[in-house]
Amino acid sequence: MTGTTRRSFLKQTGGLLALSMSHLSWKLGSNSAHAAGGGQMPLIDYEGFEQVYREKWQWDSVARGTHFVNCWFQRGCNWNVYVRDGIVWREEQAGMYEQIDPKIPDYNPRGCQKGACYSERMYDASRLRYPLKRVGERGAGKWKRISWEQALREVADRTIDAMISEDGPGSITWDQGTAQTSGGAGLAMNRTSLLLDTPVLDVNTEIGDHRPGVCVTTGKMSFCSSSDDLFYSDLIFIWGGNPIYTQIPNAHFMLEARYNGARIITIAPDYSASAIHADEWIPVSVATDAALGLAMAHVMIEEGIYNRRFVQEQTDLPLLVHKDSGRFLRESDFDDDGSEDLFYFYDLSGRGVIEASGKTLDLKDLDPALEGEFEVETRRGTVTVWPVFSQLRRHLQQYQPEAASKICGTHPDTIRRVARDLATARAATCIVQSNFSKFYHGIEMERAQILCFALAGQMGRKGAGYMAFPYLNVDSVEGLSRVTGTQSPSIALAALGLKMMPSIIRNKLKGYTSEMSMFEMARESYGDGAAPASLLWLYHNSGLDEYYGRSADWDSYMKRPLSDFMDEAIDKGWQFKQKNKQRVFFENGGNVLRRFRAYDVMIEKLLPELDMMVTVDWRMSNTALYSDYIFPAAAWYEKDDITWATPLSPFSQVITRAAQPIGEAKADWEFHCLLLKEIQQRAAERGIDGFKDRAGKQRDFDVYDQFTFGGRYTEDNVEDFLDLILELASNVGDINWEKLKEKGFQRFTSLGENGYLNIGNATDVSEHETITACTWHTQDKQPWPTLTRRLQFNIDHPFYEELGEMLPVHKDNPGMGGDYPLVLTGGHTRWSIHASWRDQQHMLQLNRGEPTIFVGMQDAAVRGVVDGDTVRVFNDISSIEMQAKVSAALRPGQVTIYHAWEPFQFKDRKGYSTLTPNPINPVQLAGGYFHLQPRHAVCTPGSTDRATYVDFERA
Amino acid sequence: MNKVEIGREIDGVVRKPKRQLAMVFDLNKCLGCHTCSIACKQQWTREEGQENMWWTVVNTLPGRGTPRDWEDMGGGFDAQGRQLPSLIPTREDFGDDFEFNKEEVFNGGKGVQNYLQPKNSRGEKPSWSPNWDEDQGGGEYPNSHFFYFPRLCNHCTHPACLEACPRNAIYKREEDGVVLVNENHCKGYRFCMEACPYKRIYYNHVRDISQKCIFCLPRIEKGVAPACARQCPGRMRFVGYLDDKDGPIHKLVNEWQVALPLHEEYGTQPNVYYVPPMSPPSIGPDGKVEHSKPRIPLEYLESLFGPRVKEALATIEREKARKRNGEESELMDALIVYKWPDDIFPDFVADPANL
Amino acid sequence: MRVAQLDTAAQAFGDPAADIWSGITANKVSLVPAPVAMQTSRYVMSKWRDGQFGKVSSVGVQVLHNGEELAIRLEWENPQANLQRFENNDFPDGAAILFPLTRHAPLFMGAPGEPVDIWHWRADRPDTAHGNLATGIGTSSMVNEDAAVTRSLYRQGRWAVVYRRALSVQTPAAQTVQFTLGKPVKMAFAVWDGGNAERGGLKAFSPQWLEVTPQS
Repeated sequence: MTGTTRRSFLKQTGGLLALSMSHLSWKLGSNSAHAAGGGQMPLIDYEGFEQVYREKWQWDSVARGTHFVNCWFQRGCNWNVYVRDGIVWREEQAGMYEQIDPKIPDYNPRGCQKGACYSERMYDASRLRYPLKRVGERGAGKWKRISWEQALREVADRTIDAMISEDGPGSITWDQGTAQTSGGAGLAMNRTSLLLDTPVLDVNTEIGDHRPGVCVTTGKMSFCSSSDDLFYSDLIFIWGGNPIYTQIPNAHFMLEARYNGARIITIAPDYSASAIHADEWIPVSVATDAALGLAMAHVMIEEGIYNRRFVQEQTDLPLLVHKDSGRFLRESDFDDDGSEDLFYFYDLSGRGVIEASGKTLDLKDLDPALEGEFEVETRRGTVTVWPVFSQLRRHLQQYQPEAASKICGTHPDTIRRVARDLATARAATCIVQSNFSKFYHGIEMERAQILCFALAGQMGRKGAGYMAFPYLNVDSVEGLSRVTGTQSPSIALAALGLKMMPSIIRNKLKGYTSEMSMFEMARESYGDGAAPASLLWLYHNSGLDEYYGRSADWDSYMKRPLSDFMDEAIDKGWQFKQKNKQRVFFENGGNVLRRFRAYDVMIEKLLPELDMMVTVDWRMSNTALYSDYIFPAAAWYEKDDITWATPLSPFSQVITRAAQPIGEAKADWEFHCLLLKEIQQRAAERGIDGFKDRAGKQRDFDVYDQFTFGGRYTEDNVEDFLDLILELASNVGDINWEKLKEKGFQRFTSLGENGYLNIGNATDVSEHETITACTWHTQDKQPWPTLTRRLQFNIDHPFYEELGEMLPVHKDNPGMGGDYPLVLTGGHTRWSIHASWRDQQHMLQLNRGEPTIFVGMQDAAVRGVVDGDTVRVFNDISSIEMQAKVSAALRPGQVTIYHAWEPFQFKDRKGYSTLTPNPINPVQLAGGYFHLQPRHAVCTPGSTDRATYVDFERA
Repeated sequence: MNKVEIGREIDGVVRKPKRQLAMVFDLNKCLGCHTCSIACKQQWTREEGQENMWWTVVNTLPGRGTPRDWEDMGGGFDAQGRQLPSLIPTREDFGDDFEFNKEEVFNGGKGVQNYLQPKNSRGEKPSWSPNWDEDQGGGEYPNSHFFYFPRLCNHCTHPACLEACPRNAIYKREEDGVVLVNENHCKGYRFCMEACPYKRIYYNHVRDISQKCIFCLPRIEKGVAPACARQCPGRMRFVGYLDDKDGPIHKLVNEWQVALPLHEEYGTQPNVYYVPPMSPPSIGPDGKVEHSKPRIPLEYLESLFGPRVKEALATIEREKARKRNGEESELMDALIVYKWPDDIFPDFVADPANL
Repeated sequence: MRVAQLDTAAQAFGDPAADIWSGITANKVSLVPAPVAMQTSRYVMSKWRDGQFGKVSSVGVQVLHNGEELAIRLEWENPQANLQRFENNDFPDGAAILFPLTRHAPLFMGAPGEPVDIWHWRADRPDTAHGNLATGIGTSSMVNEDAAVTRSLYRQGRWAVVYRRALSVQTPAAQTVQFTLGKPVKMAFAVWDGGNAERGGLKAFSPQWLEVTPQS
């Protein structure tokens, strides 16, 4: 705490202390015991002293709360927020989660050190308290404090100006950060942009959370079991994540599963925090995990220890492909009018080449061949086909353990043993996070991993499964984000439902499952530009094409430049280009000027072009620091809302207004209401009839009336809106806002009906059971939402073909950054959630107070660097300074910078993401291939900052 | 009890309080997340003069610790019960308070050359913090090794601090053995800081007194577990009375003997016990895994926990194997903690929000 | 020691550098290290058993009064001034004057039922002496933050401290010394060299009373 708050707080406690001390008197008795040296020791009133501490542990009120920030894998912790004199004094985990089964560890007490000091954070010197207007150079921290009235008026006017200009609402872009948005009332951001028709960046691929290899293989991004499902595992891989840093409240489940007999195998280049609690740590060279995985797959196949029935039923490996091209045998091979998505396998029980069902995975008595060559008559004559399995087996010959070992550095014996462990485990799972997403060839790493788990049949059973992206939300939020008009929400939702009905029916007729239908509708609407993929937006609108487009400079597998792939993808409608002059940028709780790789280029190129940049946040982020206007948002203990969740901790959580917002901060819901009110009013005052939306259609400026559903839910009654969300929700049981606010959390009862990320989990949720992802596929035999309706390892897309990635491969990491000897890795830090705690006093005091880079002992020694030295880290792209941490845990040749230092913590404001050129991998531009088509959050190109090449020297 | 008798053996009997509260830290469940450190900080040490206090903190071992190199400082008792000389660690040794120029960077209008920088209380760039060497560890890649090690006042049965205080300001409660510095009687002489071999006592220069962990006495009295334990998301801090035969502490310390005191040779009879860390096997020069060779050298663990550590680790491995084979293991079930808080601090299950 | 009344304002003698002090006879009081055997801490006894403390061998004592206030000036040699008390191992220099509150109160910090009044000046809070009551070693307890106004001066390796207080104060006689003209008062002295980490019982003290009589 700082300023008056802290002073008054101290004064208050000091007063208490003085008062209690004045009531004490020493009992200086005569009955003393004799002390060591013969001196006389008094009897002392010890209890009087203890009373001082008893009086320190007091509070006026307790409210439920949590942290709205994007903790993702570890999110969803129910806290009690203790308030004293109107100020949040401290917080403590509520510890109220009911045990679902006496044989399974419970979820208490979810939380971490960051959440445990948000009460400090929310009052510190980073906190934004008043609306500010920039009066100096961008980033210089020169502000004028202005009133909300003035700020709203100026921002509304400039927004209207942009909307009615020839550049239209498309010139206004929003970034939706999780510090303020998503969940319940956070949908305000989506409704604002919907009503103004101003795009919101689809950030998921840009932030590298999109799990591209998972999407390619499974047709979806999000599925995950609950954390307590680990207790059923007997083999747990930690491979592609560092959960001891990034899943603090979930970690006990892993370690307790270990005591329950599970073995933990951690695969990572460095001896990470998640390696220390493993039964085995397997070191691997950076960016070579695909080679390791493919070698394991090779072993399972060659030793015949794979799960044959699982492979036959759940994967594309029995499907027939042309032996020469590797392309699937399709109905169109037989018939001019034949479908492109009917596939075949060879039935060994006597039916020969038959069509693989797209409606069910249930094979009944069929016995698809995994090997063998077959002649089939096609319209182009007789061709030789064989199962993908055969093709794969041949393909994997290059990954014999001895050969793979040369790439990944893991001993061949270890590779063999681990492959056998995986194949023979009762229930094996893999804790994998969004790490490989951020590697240039991460797509192949994930494909190789899933191949291993599929061959071993370790999917969709209790304690078994490969984990994708975790997501689970209150299902009514999505619908409410998308309705317009001034009528009541239920009528609006009914209208939206009617509008969607034709698509739903059409999809049903095609035999799509619910998830396929939802995904299909998401794909259909994606091209309208309401949510441009932010990496592509940066590429096309922010001058970052010169950076992100340099892929062919380093990727030796590319035979043509990235721009060629880009043009082709856009021409064919595989990807979308929304080029629009940018006039206004709204940062709503995110932090683009920390997050965007090469954010410095955006500052240099885009910011000078803008009429206005506005940030809404509770803290001074780097983005806020460079903005024209700052609106102070309520902190997470100062507003009412419902947060989104994940199956890892399957509870919907609340935040509540434990204390009033300090200064002039307002909840973001209120901000959106007031902004739209001002826009509506200013448009009327200025005599502006309306605006042309991005499609050229004239719209009214009755945006506040629509936002509030005709005045039903305004800045004054957000709690009624939260009650509405719960009333309309189908997946949190029978609970209203009043009850949820009291309890703090509610366990999900199902995946719900309309969350397209929710449904990917493909499983039932029941009260007394752990959640096991993907059982709809493995047990109910529902098809996977891929082109082949199976876990698909063969991708016969032209880009995959051109780039040699039809089957999972290992590709050498491109030399991005230049010819330097060290490879820079990263990962989320233990010490912050993104940048939200990066400059928090305690977190810095428990570190080194400034950005650090982990370097290995030998690498430091040969450069004459000792622990604590300031070093210059450099490559062809940039040069920055930070403090070296010399560690025995780092792999020689590897250096690591953990996530989310703010640029304002670096000399010259040059943060670590200035080092990463982030070349786009052309394979991620693929589209037009059923499941490989962009929709929100997936199948657009992702960030590739991991494994950039650098060097360092003493500064 | 007279202060000079506490913890000493007189007529063949060690003089102890009626009951003794103790903690067991399961290092195989410690995440190094410092939720304990923060929980304690937020609860007790936010006043002026306490900025650099971390009554409980987590270290990475091998490492120099908090305060820096504390194990080389001396203190405690020799075999004859004589107090051993030591010294007072400096603020920088403990890890100083960091001050930042946030106002200047955010609101100073000084331009973009300005950036956030820490300064210690002497106005210099810090050279140490309570967690400075986090995750650096020891060994040589690929046989790197480290583990997390939470520390706090050991509430010793024979507290060196208590014997050192010339003012009798330190006492050990008869009802639970908690060791406290009476802040109303303490005059800030800091002999306790010197004498404590674990160096878990801080100096409050504003109030001119010594301060340290109070075992969250107001919480304990209300049946609520200490903040560090109740807030530990790793569920690795067991709390209870040593003599409670049904409680996890007694089971882990006395029955299974898998929880061991730190540096027993310091002679203070600490009441915090550690379940020693398992570690992944070593990797041989040929890159093959050497399954029989643990990564953390046994000698290192013995230097911390004494010769019984080998047996403790063997017990854990043996019981873990039983579970793996589908057999029952009371020890593993105790360490797992199925139901929180009942299984981890059975006598302190009250919910503070409901008091 | 007899103390004559001077007809002068208190301000004139409150300053240790005031000219007036050059005309007052200084009583050289010998100091010895506090006996190790009397330390109430095994640790202190063990670490300082070689007696490497309390090396200040004497303190010069000057006393005067003006009929309303009494002033005591102490001067002693200390190799360096230790003013700070911030770092964990910062110990400021100090000096104390001890007055018995009963006829037989022992010089060693009093005894049960035989309290002593101790005026404790320290270099880190140089403007007042804390008033402590003690009834034995290790028992001193501060009862008054402003037992006397103090001014101090460190010059050429020597501390000079003047304590100044009204002859008579409202505080009951059981808690603090009262000065009556013509009536002798006993006092004893102690000094701490902070540079040698001296605090508490680690000090040099005067093993004998100095009797002082303020005269009319």
